[in-house]
Amino acid sequence: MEATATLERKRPADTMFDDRAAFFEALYEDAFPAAARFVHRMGGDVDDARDVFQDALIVFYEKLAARNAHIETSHKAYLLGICKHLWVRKAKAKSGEVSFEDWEQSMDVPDMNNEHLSARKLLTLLENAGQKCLDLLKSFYYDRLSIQQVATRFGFGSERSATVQKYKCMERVRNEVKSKGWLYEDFTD
Amino acid sequence: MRTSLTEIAQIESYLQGKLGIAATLLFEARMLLEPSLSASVKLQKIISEVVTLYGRKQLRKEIQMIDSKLFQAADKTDFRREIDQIFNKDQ
Repeated sequence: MEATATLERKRPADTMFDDRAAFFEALYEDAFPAAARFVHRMGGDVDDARDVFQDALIVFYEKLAARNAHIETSHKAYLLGICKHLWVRKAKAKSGEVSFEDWEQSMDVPDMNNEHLSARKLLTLLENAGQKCLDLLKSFYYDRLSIQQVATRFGFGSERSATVQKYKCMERVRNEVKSKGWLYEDFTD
Repeated sequence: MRTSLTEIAQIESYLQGKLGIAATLLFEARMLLEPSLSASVKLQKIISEVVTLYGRKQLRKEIQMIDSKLFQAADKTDFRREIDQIFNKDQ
């Protein structure tokens, strides 16, 4: 679809961070029907298709953010490759039925369901501790924005003050955890 | 920067594999000698993992909003018709 093609002409990482919602909406509208046809062919229903597709979008985003996506064809084809992997994982018994292209076969798709209980416990603490710090850390560690992009987005006067603020936030979170008397062992299942 | 922030910066470089071979070895030797440094490294690693989890959670919310829009908005009927046809064509 045209909207996705326009978005692809820009550097993907830039487009995504400039207007993530528009990027995902165009991609969802463009690629979901193909994903739905695949899931239907494999015996799944529309809710299965939505689950798999949404997980695939997250994997896709993380790969682009980490500059870890080797996209030879298009965003759409790459995303569908991820969907296939996730479907095989979801319905292991049927793995033989899915045919992968060579490049799809060699994709490294992470497991989305390895969330530990302890991590959720810490996440609750972080969410209560300070939204701005959490968002700042997220921009660095999850969205993998450059220091320059973070400085602009959060209104820091310089890259240096953005960097210092990141470390201060890390310190604050560390102190929060320590003040609760939690130990490393509390976070390992 | 304050000493404690410098330590945080160093730990981050270590965790991201950006220290270089010699500095990494030195850092690992320090970790053996200083249990508090070792604990801080573990904690910082966990925090960055949890931040990832948070980022993922936020992104999932955004995607679900887009999903709701596509499956409900008045100007997206063509999209919904296409999806309906895929799943209802056998009936």
